[in-house]
Amino acid sequence: MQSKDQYYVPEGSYWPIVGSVGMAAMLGGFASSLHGGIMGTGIMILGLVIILFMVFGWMGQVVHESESGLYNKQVDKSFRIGMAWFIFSEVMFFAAFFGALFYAREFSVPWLAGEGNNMWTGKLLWPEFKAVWPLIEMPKPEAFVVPKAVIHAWEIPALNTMLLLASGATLTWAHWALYNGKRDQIIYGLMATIALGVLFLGLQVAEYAEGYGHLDLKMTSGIYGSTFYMLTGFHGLHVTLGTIMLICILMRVIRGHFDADNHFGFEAVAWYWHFVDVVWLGLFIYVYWFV
Amino acid sequence: MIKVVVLCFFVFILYSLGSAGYYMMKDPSGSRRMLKALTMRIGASILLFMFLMFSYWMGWIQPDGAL
Repeated sequence: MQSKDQYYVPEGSYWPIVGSVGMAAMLGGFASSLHGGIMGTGIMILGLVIILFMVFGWMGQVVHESESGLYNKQVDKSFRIGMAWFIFSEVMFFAAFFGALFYAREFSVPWLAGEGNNMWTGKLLWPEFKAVWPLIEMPKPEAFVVPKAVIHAWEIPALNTMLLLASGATLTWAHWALYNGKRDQIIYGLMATIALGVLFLGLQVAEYAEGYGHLDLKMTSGIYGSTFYMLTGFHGLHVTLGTIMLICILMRVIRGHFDADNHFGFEAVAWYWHFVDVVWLGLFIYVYWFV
Repeated sequence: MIKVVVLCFFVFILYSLGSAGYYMMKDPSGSRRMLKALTMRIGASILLFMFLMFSYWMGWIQPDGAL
């Protein structure tokens, strides 16, 4: 390892190779399981375990190096640039899914009902079809699982919005405490944020059980069902990852890591959580409330 | 009209989040600009949700999104 004042060159590391083996095993196992391979699921799980081992090992090493005082400003900048690319990929990820929903809702579904210059599409193909969102009455219902209803915005989704907004507030409270040197307040704020995140996920599971079990709202329920589960499902995955990251940050705060001038890990996770919160607000307004 | 208000709130929320991200890239951890932007973000989001609930309570908006 280089000294603190020199250009930083990291030591050789075996973690990238471990990660590559893990990813190859996980994806290869997944592909094999799709083709009915006997060992597929087992190899996939083994790959996942290897990836988790890599993440904990690699991140643990980074944390250890950071706490040993080995990192200088140049390393700090490299973490920030890495985070910028990660943010860019996340924004594009959700933009694609929101874009798919927007296109279906504002363009393709109305076209099937004859809007714009598609009068004959409506008259010849689907004369009885009227474009109403959410798309419960479909142009060709026999091809889909037709839902009885959709999840209403002012039930679980509104409650979940309150929970996530509250979690954003508790996280901001913890963030201010970090600047003011109040370690107890950081810990309580992070604990509250994690608890609210877990509660959110529990209610999301209850909502999916209602959708799948009682409303027949499934991924096979046409464009509404598929975009609904794609957007809310990937958002839920992000809340899960964010909760895990917050737990890691909480553990580090309890161990005495971070101070007012050095806490990029905290900042990055906090920004990620705020981002996931804003995505949910967009979902609440555009997916659940149909504005 | 309500749609315009919601849109204005949302644009401001995106702006606050985006500027927080920008400050995270540009400033060292000691700077408070990122935290201030995030505080604006959560404040505006809570206000927007309260506005939506108030509009629902007043009957300005319907559960199915009719305005």
